[in-house]
Amino acid sequence: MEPFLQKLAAVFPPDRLYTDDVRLAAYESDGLTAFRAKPRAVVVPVDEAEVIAAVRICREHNLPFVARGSGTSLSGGALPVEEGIVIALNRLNRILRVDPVDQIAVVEPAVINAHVSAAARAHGLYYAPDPSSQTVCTIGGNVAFNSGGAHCLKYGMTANHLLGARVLLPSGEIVELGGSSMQGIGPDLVGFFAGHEGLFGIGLEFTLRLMPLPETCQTILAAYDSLEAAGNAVSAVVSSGVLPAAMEIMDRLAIDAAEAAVDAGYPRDAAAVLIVEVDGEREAVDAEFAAIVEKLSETGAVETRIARDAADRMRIWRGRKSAFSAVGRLSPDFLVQDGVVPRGRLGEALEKIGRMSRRSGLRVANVFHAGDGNLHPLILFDGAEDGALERAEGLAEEILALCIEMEGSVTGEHGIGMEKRAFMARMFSADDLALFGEIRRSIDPGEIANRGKVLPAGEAPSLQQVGLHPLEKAGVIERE
Amino acid sequence: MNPQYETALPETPDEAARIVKETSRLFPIGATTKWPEGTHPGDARPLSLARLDRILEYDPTEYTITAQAGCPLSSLNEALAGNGQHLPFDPPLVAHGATIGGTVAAGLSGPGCIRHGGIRDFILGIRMVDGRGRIVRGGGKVVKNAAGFDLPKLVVGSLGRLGVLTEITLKVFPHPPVTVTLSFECGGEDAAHQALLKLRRSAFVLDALEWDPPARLLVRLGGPADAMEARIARLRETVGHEPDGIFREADDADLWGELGAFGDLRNGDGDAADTLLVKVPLTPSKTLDFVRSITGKPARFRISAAGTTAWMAWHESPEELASCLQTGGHRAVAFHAPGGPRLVPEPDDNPFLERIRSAIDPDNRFPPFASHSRKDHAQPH
Repeated sequence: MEPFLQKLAAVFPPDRLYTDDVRLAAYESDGLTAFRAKPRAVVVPVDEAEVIAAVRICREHNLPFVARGSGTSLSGGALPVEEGIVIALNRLNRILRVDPVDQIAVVEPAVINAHVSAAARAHGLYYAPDPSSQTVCTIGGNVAFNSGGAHCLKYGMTANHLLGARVLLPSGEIVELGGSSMQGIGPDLVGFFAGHEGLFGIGLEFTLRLMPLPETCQTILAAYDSLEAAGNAVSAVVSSGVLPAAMEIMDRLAIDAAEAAVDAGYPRDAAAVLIVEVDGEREAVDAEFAAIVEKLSETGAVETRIARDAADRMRIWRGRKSAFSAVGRLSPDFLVQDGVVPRGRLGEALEKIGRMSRRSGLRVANVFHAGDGNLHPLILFDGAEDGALERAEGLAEEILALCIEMEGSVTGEHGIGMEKRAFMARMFSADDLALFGEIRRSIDPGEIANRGKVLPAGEAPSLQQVGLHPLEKAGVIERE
Repeated sequence: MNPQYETALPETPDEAARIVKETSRLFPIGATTKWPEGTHPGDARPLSLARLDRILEYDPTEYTITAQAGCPLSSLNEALAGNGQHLPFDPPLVAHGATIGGTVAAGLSGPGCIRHGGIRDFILGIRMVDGRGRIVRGGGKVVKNAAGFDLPKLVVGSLGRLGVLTEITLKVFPHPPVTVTLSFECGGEDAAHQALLKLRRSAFVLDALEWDPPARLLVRLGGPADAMEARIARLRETVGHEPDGIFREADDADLWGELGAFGDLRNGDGDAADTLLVKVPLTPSKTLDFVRSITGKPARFRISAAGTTAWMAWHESPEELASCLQTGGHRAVAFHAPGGPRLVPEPDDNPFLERIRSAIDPDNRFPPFASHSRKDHAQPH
């Protein structure tokens, strides 16, 4: 047995140290099912001490490691490194403390996102970041990727709700970053840790900010006969001076998919639907919502629906939240993108994407966070067709290039991971990337923490398979 | 004076980068609103951002604004106000001429941060000169961006020690159409603390919640004019007694302007040169103990941002401050201190910070984080 395996076997019993193909298979991929890689071993620690022991063994043997939560990453963040191991954190899933006075929750990394809000609810509090995979994804993964959700414009991303972290560095040392207060002193190290995509080590414990549940929420769905009209309606809402909690748009293809999947009841002949939501104190929301409804009445909507109660609201959102997995019914395969463009140029971006789609002969369904310009084009294709995958990848690349050209971003929330490393050199200069590399190697000279991700270097493994994550096929999770 | 230590005043980011490359020890300064006059350290060259003072890009429909680091907050506020927008993190010292770069470096957010977040929640992108004299970029210009390491967050609170900021992109929000402030005298410390906790748990979405010890609460509501009277009535009912003052329009603006200048903490005719202005992060459960520990000390203070911060004017030494804070396990940043902003007590060794710092600044051009590491820094030449 190899030395590193012997060391691991001294820490992990056989039922928590996997080296056989059968048990390794479950860890070969994440939400970006196009990539697969088999690690040399998987360890399943039950406590912090075992995580620390595993990383120290990795450091000693210069062995790459990939920390994994639920494996829902859409950019290959949890994809194993073939010469290394996977540290599966799922057993570190306790909510350690909920403090209703300080409005914080202290959690282990594998606590599921939705469980934090569930635990906080008894105190009239909730945890705001709500990626659509929230019933399955873990806080550790959310922190590593600075995950978003539908409410980012108003409420921000995971980093904005992360107050403190206890971090295991790739060196094997432990550091405490941030604290329990909303205020910090010194450089915002915990903010810098969020979005590290696993390159800075493993978070062992997180202090999360909780917020009082909004007293009320008002939701409207407006249908338009063109995507452009929907985009203009967004500008109208923005000009009202009201800050909505969420603004989402779906185009015709995405609407059709959602209808087929969950019978959302959206207007069938609409080219696009816009969902706008306002939340807060009852009196303020009533006044703000009335202002938005009035603005929208001037935008030429072919139909508007105001949610009368919580059930209505759920119905409006169900279509939107099911859109990604629903698209799987329209097409055997698809690639999901995560670009950002300035909000004001959404209409222009969508028009260009439409033209690119027609040129390539591939359909593109559009679902996006209109409030912050974060697009999720879903490129539909049939992998069985000759050259279709290459054409789909080519179209994906064109769309990302468009986002860069518009001074947006190649990723709003899914992260760079494995998938978009090549684009880093188009978004950042050589000096920028040099500094990222210097910081990374200062923290991790051996590059053992999530080696091969984020920073461009070397060849990407070839795409092998695309389509729905197995959990999506089973209807357990929905992605954004 | 040794010309090496004359303040450098670059007109462009490239010039700033050149100066960094040529200077063995330096520190960036903005409008020095947080730096008592005549107290610059003698062993390093000041690099002033005063000439990098323009707004570069602003599109109200994008909710973003980009400005050079030396741009005064007052210029930003004016441009934003013209479009019904504002800086949601409510930075202090606007009237004194504070710049956005200095505000980011000091990590200061004001009372308004309780509504939408502090400065860390609104910084989207930066350009800075690193310790090798390279101009580097982090983040971007759009409100949502997950690409690359989050340098914009890193530099918040970095006190000029992790690079010279040249450009900053911020997310901005619409400002509330109307704001009204109610002042409540609560009868005693305990009652004020209880009222603060009750308001934090309530359904109210407040624009500010300040506690002026011993027992006065300032509660600010912002939002549509139509809803304001109903909300005020509800607030009176929740607090359980009548306000002793209601501030509207100009009075409301003046009140918060005064607090933003720390007028309630400072002596009207100017502080002694060695007065420290200090920010102490708190959690609401520790707020009452903190109030009790400081009452009677040579300090004036206010509990800010719904019990999550204390602002203090401290009239003794930093060592005595550290000692006083120690009981409650508190740490602070003295953001206005002779010799420049500093952490009190000095930070413990943190390998994560040290590795980041040494990657950004391998030749130790920028000030160190703790005095014990100063001896490891090369002497100026």
